[in-house]
Amino acid sequence: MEIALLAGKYVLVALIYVFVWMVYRGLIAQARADREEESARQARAEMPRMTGPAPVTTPRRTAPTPAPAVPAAIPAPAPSAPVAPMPPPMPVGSSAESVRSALTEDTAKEEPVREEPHVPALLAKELPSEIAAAEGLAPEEPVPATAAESVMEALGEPEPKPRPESPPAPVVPLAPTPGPEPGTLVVSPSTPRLVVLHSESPDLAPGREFPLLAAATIGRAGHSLVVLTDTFVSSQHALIFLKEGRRVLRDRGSTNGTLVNGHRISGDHILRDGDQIMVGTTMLRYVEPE
Amino acid sequence: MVFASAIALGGMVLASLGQGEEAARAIRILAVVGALMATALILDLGGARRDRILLPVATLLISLGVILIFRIDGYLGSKQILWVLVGCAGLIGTYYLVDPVFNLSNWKYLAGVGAVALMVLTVILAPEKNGARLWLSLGGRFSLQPSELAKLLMVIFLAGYVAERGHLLRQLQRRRGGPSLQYRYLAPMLLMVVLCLGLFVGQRDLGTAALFFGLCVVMLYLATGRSVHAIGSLVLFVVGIVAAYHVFPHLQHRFAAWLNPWASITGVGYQPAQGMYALAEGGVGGAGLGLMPVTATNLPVASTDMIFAVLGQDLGLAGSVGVLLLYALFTVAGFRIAWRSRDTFNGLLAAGLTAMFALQAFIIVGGVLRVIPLTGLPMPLVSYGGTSMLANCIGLGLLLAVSREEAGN
Repeated sequence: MEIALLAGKYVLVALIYVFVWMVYRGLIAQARADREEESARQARAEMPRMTGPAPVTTPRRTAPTPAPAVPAAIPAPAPSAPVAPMPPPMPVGSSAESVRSALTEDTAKEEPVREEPHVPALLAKELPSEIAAAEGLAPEEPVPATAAESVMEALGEPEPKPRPESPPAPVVPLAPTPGPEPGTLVVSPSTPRLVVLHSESPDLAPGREFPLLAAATIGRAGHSLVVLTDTFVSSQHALIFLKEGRRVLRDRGSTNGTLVNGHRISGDHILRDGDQIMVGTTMLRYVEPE
Repeated sequence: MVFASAIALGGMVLASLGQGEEAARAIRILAVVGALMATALILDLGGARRDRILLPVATLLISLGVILIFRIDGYLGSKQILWVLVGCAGLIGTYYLVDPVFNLSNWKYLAGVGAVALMVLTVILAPEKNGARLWLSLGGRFSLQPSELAKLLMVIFLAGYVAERGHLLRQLQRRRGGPSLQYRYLAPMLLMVVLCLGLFVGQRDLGTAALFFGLCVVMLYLATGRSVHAIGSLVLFVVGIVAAYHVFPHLQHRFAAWLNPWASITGVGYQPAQGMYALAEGGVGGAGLGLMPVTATNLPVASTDMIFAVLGQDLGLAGSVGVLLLYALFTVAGFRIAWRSRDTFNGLLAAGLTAMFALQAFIIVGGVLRVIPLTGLPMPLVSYGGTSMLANCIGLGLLLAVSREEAGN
């Protein structure tokens, strides 16, 4: 009996250690899986992507030959949008600063509203020369005015398709209002985008796409990138920004909240391909092409 | 993973048979194991991917605890089994209700207020026991220890508040540097924390107060990523301890017992000294489960605060280190859930809960080993204590719910 007791004790302790060892192996395996997942994600992030205010990496094109252009519909600010008063020859540096402050501080309540409209304008101004260089085009080449018109047409179509009269490179003007210097924006097939799944709002047909810039605002206000004319949407509802290669969705203290896959988010939420974002009565899907 | 815990548990049933008691008693441990296995199966019914490590580790810790409690006092052991069953129900309920039904971040202020209310209620109503006011009688033989639930509620509150205001705390601090702006956002949180700390100290529950303070520091550090906060809080902690040392005679006795238990072996030093004796008897290999008698006279509050000493006596250094490793694995798995979480609130919640488990284990094990002064805290998942078991199971359910969510889609 004594011997059985002593043996039982050691067997028990040994079993505890066997268990610890198994769990430890499990954790190691998980950590390895996590690392692989992370590196796969980073590899994806290395793909052409839109860099925002700080043009650190130039968008790497997959092929020098122009791929079939997919001019995704660019959201036009609502007709009442206060785009016109915006001074067109805006210094790039100051707008970059304003975007950065909108991103980092995001004091939705305190932040002056007027800083918002600069987001598309900034990208429109800053990106073309860099992209044109990557494309092998002559820098500072002005974009033909027809391009702007073609996009205006494309806006009416829920299914964007390549248009023959668009320029060879997938260069699409961003600023839909005819300005003195229309900016351009490359929307490559690999640009992450929001796709409308369904909406009560008449101008948001299902299938409509919003390519995501480095910083994208969602709201009822006309200067948002994704303008949602919906009484359940706050004027400055949410923000999607780029952080360490990931798109992060942040609710900006909206009244009715932002839901991801049916869960109301609080604070920041890292987006993953296929996430369904519910803003007001509008359902959007976040698409991150491989 | 669940299978692995079954292997270890089979060994435990054997070991408790070896205690020289009737076989019927050993079978009761199967109730605990069965309940936890059933819990795992019910959680899998949901179909979602979730963490596969926490529950087996917790199962092993809980069943080890039940074995030790049985070996100390059979009556307490039976009650503990009942509480494990209640805890399992709480775990399942939490896992399934938390996100689809209750969005916890909406309830953060209620959680905070609830925590404070529980503490106030205890201070007013509870009778003093072992030098602390902790237990709220619910009539009959059942009593509630509200501070256990309050801990959980405060983690929810802190996570919710910090998730909502975290970027404000961080940004204002970095960009403008003026402390006044930053602390404007910090003030409600600090108020809540100070209120709670005051109540814990009012209850003379210093272990919980220390745990609580540690939790706040962890949350603040996670939210801001500034080590200044951690270091500043540490300084504050030392100042607080020194101040409290001069104010409370209770604390002076604890310190005296910590530094030299042998000087007051018949008085306050009795408990720590007996703990040391128990560990010494265990040695490296342990004295064997149930071979050395443990009674209220030779080891006071053996089933709660001093359960680690009982473990050391029975299974020796080898068994104790094994249990500490289990806690380490639990912590790593918990922080992994937090790290993988895509939502700020969920991440902070998971990190806070994990920190709660880890800090609690550290404070009580350190107390028994005389690394730090001994303060009354239950060893998470192991010690006897109904409310503690329930709160820990709910916390575990929350962690698993967060891990399920990150795997979503």
